[in-house]
Amino acid sequence: MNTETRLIELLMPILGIPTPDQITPQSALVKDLGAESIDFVEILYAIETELGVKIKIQEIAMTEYSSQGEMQDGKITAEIAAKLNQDFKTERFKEGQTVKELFESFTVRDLATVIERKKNSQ
Amino acid sequence: MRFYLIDRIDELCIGKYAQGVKCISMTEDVFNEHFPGYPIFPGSLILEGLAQLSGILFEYSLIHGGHHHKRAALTLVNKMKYRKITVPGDRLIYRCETQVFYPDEYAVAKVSASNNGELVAHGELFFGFIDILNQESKKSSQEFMQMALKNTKIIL
Repeated sequence: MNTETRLIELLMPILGIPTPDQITPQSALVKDLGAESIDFVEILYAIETELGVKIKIQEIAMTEYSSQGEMQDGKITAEIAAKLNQDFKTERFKEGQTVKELFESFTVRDLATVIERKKNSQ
Repeated sequence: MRFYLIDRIDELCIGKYAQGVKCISMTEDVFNEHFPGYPIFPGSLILEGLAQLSGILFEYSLIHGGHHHKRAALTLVNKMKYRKITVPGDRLIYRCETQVFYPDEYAVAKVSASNNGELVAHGELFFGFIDILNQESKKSSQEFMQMALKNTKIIL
């Protein structure tokens, strides 16, 4: 079973979503699925106990990216956006987005990418 | 009302587990209403006692680990089950075992209550850590910990 499918299974009871077809890899955890801070604690614990991967909340809040380059008025630069797009194999990150927007748009696929990256580095 | 729902902590192994006792007495105010003529100790108060035990374990472990003293606050109750009722005269053994303990993030404890060797309640509790913002709050936390750990065997 691939990481995305397993992750969707784990997210369902935590977020109170009754059927797997209501979560897609493109679903944003906060914006689409309604995840709150307490849910992230439970999600990260489930990932650790069920998938054997420890992820810190900072890795989902994307603070490591915002600390790498110079933010401009709390918004990401083109350089940071390019790094994010490269790491998450997407084109949706754009110059000018805020850290809050990054966190709210963090998707199931993004989380699976972080999990896979951690697994490969273990 | 003094909201101490654990009578004694017998053993605390830093970062790992703690075990203590809660004696159920007929004089407890809660039995006025729960229930008249049929006293049953509420499961919610067993949960609170287990949470207090776990909170002390994590707070003590924070201090001993050289971290800032923060309050451990219950944030999530997972899979709490009550298998038997608890009545006056029962002597509950409370135990909490650390599942994960991340001082700058959160902690999880598996908790259980037993009476006479029989499992009464069990579950999993999540805790967040809150900064202590004033001296009065810090003092009350320290006093509670001192009182709770007065005769406790501390295992490093």
